[in-house]
Amino acid sequence: MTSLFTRWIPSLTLAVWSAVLLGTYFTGRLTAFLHPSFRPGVMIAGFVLAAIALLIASKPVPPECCADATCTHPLSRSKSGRWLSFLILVLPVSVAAWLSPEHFSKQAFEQRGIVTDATGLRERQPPRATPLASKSATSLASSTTDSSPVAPVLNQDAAAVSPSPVVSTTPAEPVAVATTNSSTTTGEAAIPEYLQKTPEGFVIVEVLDMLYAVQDSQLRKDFEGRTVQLIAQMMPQKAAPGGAENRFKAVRMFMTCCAADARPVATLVETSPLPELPEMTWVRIVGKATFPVENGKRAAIIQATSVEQTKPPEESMLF
Amino acid sequence: MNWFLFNPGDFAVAFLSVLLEGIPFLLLGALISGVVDAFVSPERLSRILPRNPVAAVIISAGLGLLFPMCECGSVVVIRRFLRKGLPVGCAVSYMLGAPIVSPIVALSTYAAFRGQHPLEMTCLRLGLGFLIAVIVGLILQQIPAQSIMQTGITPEAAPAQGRGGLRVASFSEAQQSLESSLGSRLQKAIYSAATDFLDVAVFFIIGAAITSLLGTAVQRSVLDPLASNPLLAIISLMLVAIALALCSTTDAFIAATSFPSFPMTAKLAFLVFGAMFDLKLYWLYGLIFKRRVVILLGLSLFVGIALICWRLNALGF
Repeated sequence: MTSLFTRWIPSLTLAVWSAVLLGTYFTGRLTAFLHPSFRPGVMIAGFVLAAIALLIASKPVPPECCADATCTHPLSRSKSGRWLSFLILVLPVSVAAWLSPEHFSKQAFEQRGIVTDATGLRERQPPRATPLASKSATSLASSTTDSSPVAPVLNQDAAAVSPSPVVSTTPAEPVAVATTNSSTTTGEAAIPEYLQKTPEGFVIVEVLDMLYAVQDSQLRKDFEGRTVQLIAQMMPQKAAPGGAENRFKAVRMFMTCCAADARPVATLVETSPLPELPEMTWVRIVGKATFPVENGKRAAIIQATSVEQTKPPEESMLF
Repeated sequence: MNWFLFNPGDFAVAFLSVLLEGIPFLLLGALISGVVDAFVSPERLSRILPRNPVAAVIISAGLGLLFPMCECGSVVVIRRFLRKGLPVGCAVSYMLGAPIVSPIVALSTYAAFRGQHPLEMTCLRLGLGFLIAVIVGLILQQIPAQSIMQTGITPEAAPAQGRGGLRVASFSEAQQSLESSLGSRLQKAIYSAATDFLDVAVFFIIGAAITSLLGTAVQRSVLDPLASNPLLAIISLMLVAIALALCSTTDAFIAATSFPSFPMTAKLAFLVFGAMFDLKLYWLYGLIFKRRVVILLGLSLFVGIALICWRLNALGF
């Protein structure tokens, strides 16, 4: 084997991989592909591959292994095999890293089936820790609840710290409910302290919060009737016979590990007239959270007062 | 075709995400395999193995916890160990067990199955892998090595001089071992890791491409008839495992993301069988065992794992 195969091709391949890993990490594109817990591994692997690439470039791999007829590297035993493996290793990943968008198309949302019921997600969720637990524990130690309430997703920063938005099945620490909280600009009852608010006083919710609230009475109580703000993508909602025609779906992708396992989740938004925006547009919805029973089943619906186009959030996926 | 709609953008997102998720684990596995390859001699292994042949097989099946190896790496190492006189039963149980009973595989399986009963899946995978490795090792222990192994693999000298049946290292070997410096061993470990990484990454890329195609282009409802019948689901995912030939350090990411409607026992069969036998391993095992033995081994593993997983399904797992 020449130095092309023992030195330059292996080191170039590893360098390309290193560049892809470090490039996606340091440009921030990685947020579109991986759950936060996997991201540091990508950066470390990128640096390790770069170091090995440099080592091999400076000192080639001893050729004895793959010159042996009993070598166990099937693609390294012939020149054509080495060229083939080089192309497989370098081309697809380079093209994908270069051309890949940072979000799925509408087709993928439809293909995967949009989840509008949190019961279908429950098995994928570990019990959620209570956010702001330490702060709440001291200031609201006397607060008690009669169920196993959960805290909402709030936003991606909060989720990154406490990444398990879920209906808790076991009694955990009680969620702190503020009794001395300031009232909102909308004149609603005091907002529980654990909920995040916009400067205007709207409760920030995610699609998952609305779905989990359908299942969890405590969470529902905290949200119901409040003015909430939701950022999501718009998808049309086909009206059921005799059903409301002024609704659309607010959808987000919900990932467990990576984009490949992401599933679209949606809550309904009711507004009149329907906004004239292209499908899959990112919108900021402000409206009242409601949980009516329709056809014998409780649903999560935001009665929107405003729907406006907005920029995609920093983390386009929920987790 | 309503059931197949290919969108390059969606494919690229899914493909890249599977690669980015799995590559760090693949690299970690290759690095540890390289270290084991360079630093763990058959003599060192012999100190760990008990004298009792049955106990030696059982311990060998769990040695991946100390000396983790992916399936490709384990074939290389075992080939060398067999030549040095490691008993066939121990070699086979390590060869089949190490790619599954390993901290890296436990970590990657747990991580990949986040939210899908990760602890149960990890324990079942490692437990079942260990059990099957022990059973196969004990069976092959009873058969004369010459009748199942390729010519040239059988021990250079009669075993059973040292513990666990390994012969004691000769003076020249000991001298050779002393002469190889730490630096050169480290270099060997890194080169071995790099070669393994590049070789296995090819199969991982092909697997990631197929799984991304399944995940983005194929209407999920098409697979439902297969997924709804437990035995059919188990068999079909085992066949997929043969075709994909994935590395055990990353296959959990494919299993966890590609087949959402399939029962957990089918994914378990995919993870256990795929780490023990696939198209790539059929070729690699042929470097050690006679071809008919490889075929028999593959068929036995297929039937055995399918039946165990089917039974587990019936028990409610």
